[in-house]
Amino acid sequence: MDKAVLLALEDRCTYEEPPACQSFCPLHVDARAIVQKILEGKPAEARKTLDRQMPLAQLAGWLCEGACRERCLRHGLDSGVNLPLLELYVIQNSKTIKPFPMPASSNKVAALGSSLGALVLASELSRKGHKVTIYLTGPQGGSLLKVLERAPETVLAETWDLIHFLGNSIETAPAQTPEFLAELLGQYRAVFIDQGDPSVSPSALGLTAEELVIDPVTSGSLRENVYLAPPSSVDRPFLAALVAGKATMGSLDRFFQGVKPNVAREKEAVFPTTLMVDISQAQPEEAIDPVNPFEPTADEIKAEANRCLKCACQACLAVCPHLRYFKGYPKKYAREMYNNIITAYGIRTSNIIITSCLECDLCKEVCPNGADVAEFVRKARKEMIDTNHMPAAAHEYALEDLLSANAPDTAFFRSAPNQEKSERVFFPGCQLVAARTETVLKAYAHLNQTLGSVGLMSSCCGAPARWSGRSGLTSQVAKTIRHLWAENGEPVFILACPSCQLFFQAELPEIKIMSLWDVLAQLPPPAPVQSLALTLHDPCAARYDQALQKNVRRLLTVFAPKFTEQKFSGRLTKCCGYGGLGAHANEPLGFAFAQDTVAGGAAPLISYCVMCRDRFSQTGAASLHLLDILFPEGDLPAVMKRAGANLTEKRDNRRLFRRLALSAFWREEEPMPTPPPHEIVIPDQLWAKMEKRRVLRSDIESVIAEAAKNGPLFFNQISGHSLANLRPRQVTFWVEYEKDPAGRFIVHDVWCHRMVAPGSPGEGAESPATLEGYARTGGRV
Amino acid sequence: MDRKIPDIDITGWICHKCQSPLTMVQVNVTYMGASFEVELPSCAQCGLTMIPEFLAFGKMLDVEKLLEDK
Repeated sequence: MDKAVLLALEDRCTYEEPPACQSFCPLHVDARAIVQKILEGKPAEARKTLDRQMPLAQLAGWLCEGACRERCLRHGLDSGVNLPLLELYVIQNSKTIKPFPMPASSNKVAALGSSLGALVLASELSRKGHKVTIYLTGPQGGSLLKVLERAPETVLAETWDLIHFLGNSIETAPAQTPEFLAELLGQYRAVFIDQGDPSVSPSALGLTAEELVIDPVTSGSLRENVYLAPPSSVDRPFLAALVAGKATMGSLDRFFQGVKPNVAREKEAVFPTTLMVDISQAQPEEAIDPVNPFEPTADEIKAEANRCLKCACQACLAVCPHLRYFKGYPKKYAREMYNNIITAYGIRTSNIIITSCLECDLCKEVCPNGADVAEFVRKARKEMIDTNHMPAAAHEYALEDLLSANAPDTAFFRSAPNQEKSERVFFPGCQLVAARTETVLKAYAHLNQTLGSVGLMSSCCGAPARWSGRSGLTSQVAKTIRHLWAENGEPVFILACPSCQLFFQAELPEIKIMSLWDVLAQLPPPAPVQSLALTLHDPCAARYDQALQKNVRRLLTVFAPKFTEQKFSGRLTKCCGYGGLGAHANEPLGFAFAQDTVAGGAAPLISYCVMCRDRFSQTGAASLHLLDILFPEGDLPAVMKRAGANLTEKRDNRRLFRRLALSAFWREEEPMPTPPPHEIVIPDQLWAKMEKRRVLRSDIESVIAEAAKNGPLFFNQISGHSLANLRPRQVTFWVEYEKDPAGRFIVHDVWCHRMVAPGSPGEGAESPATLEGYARTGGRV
Repeated sequence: MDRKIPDIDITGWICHKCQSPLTMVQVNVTYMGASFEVELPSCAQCGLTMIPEFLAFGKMLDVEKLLEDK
């Protein structure tokens, strides 16, 4: 995979960007984390966060001027969160932890003046082993003495203790002259002039105005090895002093290691963040006014911390269970998936992230930057297939189902009865045929009666192949449809399934298509009006098809006028969990999607994709397919509570559809399927297990047939049960059964696995044919 | 995969063809070109191996997934 694909997605995701308070803080204090720790009642933890960015926090916490407040997104709403007050609370409710002294280096630095800049430089540089000698030019503490009047006396004393503890020393400057500065520059590797101390006189030291221009990145000056803190007359002098002390430390640390002082410092300056934050739901809340602003209480501080909007880009996380399930966000996902793809040796731990994405595009729609995870997943899947790294089990059942739906005993194409070629062909789609066999026949009869010259084609369009990234199989299925279309006079295809529509648009653009719902909206009504209150769900495959959405609403307005919209609908609709074959690769996640989507509607749901309908039904929600109200089969309240067809029934129903349709409309009588030679009883409770394990009744029948012919493999002398197995494809099926006196085979359990054990079927066998190969030989319509 | 799988209940099971009891034997199971030695219930005479349900959906499934991700 081209790295540009990764970078393009990474660039669009702003999740990792800092909030404005942090990006515009000259120190980049992580206010969000501090707020979080305060709200958790952990000021000591908040202090650790503060200490990481704010040097000498025990002192600086009294002095911070809160540059963040005017950048806080609350600023436009009421007033920015009072972070300086939170910082004060944090330092008052935590201990200053003395660092472990580093071995002293031979690099020594002098600082002239003793205000905040000099103290910060001494504290920060000595933590790296470089000692600083502070030369007093006036009262110890410089300008700090006055501002700290409201602070306990111990604050400054403790700071000096720490400066001493770290191995720094204090001298008194004999005089401020150019000679003294030259002497210091000869004696020390660098000199820091703290202009924040009013007793420091740069002009007396012989520094010209030009030399006092401070480099904003390094805090250096035009005089070699002279670094500067700005005078206290600048805007927010204490933050400026903190930055100067920290920046000088960064410069000297580089200098001592032979690195240029301005290398790799891009992230130190303030910058506008690109983090996308939605504050449309935020309510105004006035800042708290503490009784004692120099000693806020825990309650006051929590109230202020609660005003923080916790700025974060949550747009996709709020709507996508997949992102929440894997605790990711698009940027992280992109890296994990990319690393997974380029892994040459070792375990590809993120396969499951790629295989279980629904490719539903909702994340792209809600992302303010349009970060397109689904497109990345599509590329990743294709590459996994092309390089033979797609886990075989991930989407296998769905692909087998495709092949089964397109097998000669199931699929067919017929022009309208008594016509050689038709103007139109109804293509209901394999899932609808499987789930609503009789209803689809009624719909076809209606189309033929009212529209005339409508043929019928039953097969899978190929969507599962496309979802799984198998381009070979996708082309093969599309080619078959194209061939039949061309051979039969290029009819217009009438499609019922939104996923089929997407497939045709992408893979068969030459075929003119119409939506069944568009056609039905223009025909005489087939059914009575329903008085049910229903909630309409748009399938994710219809997300971008506004005409389709409109036609469905036109039909519902006539036939179920009491319908309402889902919370998420149209372009923002949610997926039921089936899209992208996600539920096949990760069933629990697929179920979470269905639950999440069902939660968006109160009344029984109605969808125009039968997979949505059946998946909603699996969560226990009452749901209907649009055909259910247009061509009702029995009592609708009962239909909406009915479980969907199981996997075995679906395959049987597709074959049944062929037999019924060919018989009813073309008078082609097909022989009834041969019943299995043995009567097999599968208890009701076993079906749920079979569904979960993707075991079909035909799999059990094959195992029993083998056992009946050659005897079981094992026998239990206590229970009287027999055990047999068979490996019809890459899976070995085991069936535990007993034969009752009537000669029936009573199934007690069934399980399967992909590994091969000695003496088991499949041992020593060649690898089964690829799905593409299978398609070529078995996928003829 | 651990070489020994504890607590495999093979009470009552015999090989249907040989009528021999099953014993725990080190066998090679294979998948995707990789093979593992594991102790499984097998026929004492013909060596036919039984893979119980809890193993198929337990450790064996874990290893299958691991190999598929390799």
